[in-house]
Amino acid sequence: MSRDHASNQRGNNNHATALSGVLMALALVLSYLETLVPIHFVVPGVKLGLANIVTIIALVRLGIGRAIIISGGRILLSGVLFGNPLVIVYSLAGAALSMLVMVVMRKFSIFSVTGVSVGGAIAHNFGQLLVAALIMENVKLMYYMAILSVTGVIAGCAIGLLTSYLLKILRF
Amino acid sequence: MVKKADVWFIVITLLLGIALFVIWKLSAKPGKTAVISVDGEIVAELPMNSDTTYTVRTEQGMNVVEVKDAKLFVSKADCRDQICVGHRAISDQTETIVCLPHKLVLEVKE
Repeated sequence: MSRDHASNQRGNNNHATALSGVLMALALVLSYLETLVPIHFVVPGVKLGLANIVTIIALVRLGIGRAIIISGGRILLSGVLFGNPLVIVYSLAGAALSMLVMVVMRKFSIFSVTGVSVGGAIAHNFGQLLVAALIMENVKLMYYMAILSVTGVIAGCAIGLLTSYLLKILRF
Repeated sequence: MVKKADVWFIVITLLLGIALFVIWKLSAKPGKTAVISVDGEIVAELPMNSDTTYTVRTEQGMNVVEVKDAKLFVSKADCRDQICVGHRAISDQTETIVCLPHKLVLEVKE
């Protein structure tokens, strides 16, 4: 009985680890796809955040620990492959704040995946802008948050609705 | 799929964004000096009332900054994304043009 339980646990763990690898690869492809179609909408660097689909799915299905590993791994890999060290710093700042906000919002459980996604998008934008303002030593950059909060809501809604649909049909 | 709290969260976020936008635009007033800084250090100041060109060269790369018709913009850069070149010309004190890869910031001051 106890051995059964142990092997079952190990089986689940192996399954989750394999799944994490697949999800990280998927997130990497999604963030690469996004660099191919840059949208310069009013403010540079506005994007849909396709990779956040994977992060939220990981957060819901695999838990915080694996979600952090997948998101962090994806950023390091895409930074090394398609970006530069500065890009990694910006991305990590955005991702860290985004993850924190999404985890807290999920704890409250009054928000759906869509709300969590919007919160994550806004936090991501805020984190990146904060790092930009710190590196450039220019507080005025924070004004861009006015535009980034609107684009964040739009992108966050789109990604959130898509993700909640995917969570419904994905069986793993 | 969407809960009440989501809607409230989105509405409040949008209102905060709009409020910040209003503050941003209300505090906008044209400036007389173009300030060019790299990595937080001022490298040049140009008068906004005469048409000039200034080339910024750093170890990160090159940007050509231009003042034309009292507006400031980047006309050329050797960075990969060309976002600073695509940015519209600025003239207000609240506006900035940034070239992230070169850590270059352009602002307009009094």
